[in-house]
Amino acid sequence: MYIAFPESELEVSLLSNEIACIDLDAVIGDIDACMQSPECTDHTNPPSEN
Amino acid sequence: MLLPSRVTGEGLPWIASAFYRNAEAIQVFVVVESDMPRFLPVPTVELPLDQCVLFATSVVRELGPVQSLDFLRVPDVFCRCMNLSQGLLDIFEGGAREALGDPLLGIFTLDIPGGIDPDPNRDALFGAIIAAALMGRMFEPVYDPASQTPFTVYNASPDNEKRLRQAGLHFFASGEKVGFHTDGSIDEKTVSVPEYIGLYNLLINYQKPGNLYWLPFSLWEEFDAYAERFGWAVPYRIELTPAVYSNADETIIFATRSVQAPIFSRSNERQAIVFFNGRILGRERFNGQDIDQLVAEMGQSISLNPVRYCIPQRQRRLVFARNTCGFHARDMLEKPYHGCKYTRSFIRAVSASGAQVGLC
Repeated sequence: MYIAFPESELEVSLLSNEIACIDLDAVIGDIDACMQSPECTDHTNPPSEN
Repeated sequence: MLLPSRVTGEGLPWIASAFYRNAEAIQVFVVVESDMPRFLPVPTVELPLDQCVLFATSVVRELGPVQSLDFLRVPDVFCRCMNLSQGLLDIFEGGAREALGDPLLGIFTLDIPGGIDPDPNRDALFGAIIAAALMGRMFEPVYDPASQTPFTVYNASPDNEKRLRQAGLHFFASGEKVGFHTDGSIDEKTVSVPEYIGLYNLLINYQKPGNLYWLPFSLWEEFDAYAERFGWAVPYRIELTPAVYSNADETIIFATRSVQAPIFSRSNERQAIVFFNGRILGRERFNGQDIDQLVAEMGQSISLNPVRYCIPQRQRRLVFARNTCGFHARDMLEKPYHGCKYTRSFIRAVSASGAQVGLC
């Protein structure tokens, strides 16, 4: 057990610098990603409008 | 209301010891703040790196080279990944189910270590596959019809926010605080509150990601008072935040949905269900005033509750919550790293099980 809060900015910075190397588009592939995060997930069939 | 002894200062060791019984690699985050509300620790397990590497090796051996997360779109492939995650599940399942089933807790966190693969993209990919597989083991997820995956990917970026703003759509920017709410789920006909949700942070490009907060209904001191003010099973018109999807070729905007649902209701098992989500419209039940003030007061009451659970938002952190027994909120994410295409990416899965609360 350890006290892990708050995380130091240095610690977060190191983590983020590692992850910033990620090509997120490549990781996700051709999945349609949601551009925002509504609190209610819509499971109706998607419309085809652009 | 008096707090149960288990969540007072004397109760913290109880929580810790309970989870030590169920997993070796347990960590309990003790949060100490001088101001109210008091923060309670969320039981957290870090998966052993060697077990994660073993999982990744098994996936490649059985399914071939893995290029991106979209391979989980095939139900049989997703099922095989779930089966391969048995060894990982065994490490934490007992403690997680105990936490999620406890009405005084209802939340559990899992950290997926980095270093599964030396390539950063593949390392991130295997972390996300593990998260998706384990969410599928903890509850049966609903398939997202837009992405055809058993989860939804949310990508925040300055460009996405600009497009949403230009379309005149309401959205929650990463740099914006999200107040306490319960997650909902809608299909063509019904409005539901999923029993379980899983949230996995794939990418956080912020120096100060802040915290995720959780308040079980059982610890909210003014639950009964607000249930009375809104009324039990009294339907309200609620405008939901629209979903907007994008891929390389197009942007797909779901029409803004307006649903009819009670804020407070009871499931068939007489369990209290709260649908606190979207923009609640209409007038108060007793005095006929606009509902906005009452909604704001309820949000403030939850925020000012003397205690809440708190867990720092981190990359490769997977949060399980029993959505039918509590509210969650998050801090704004601050100090973004500049020059990054995306500021945040997370995966959310919601359970098919839950309580239906209204009709569309």
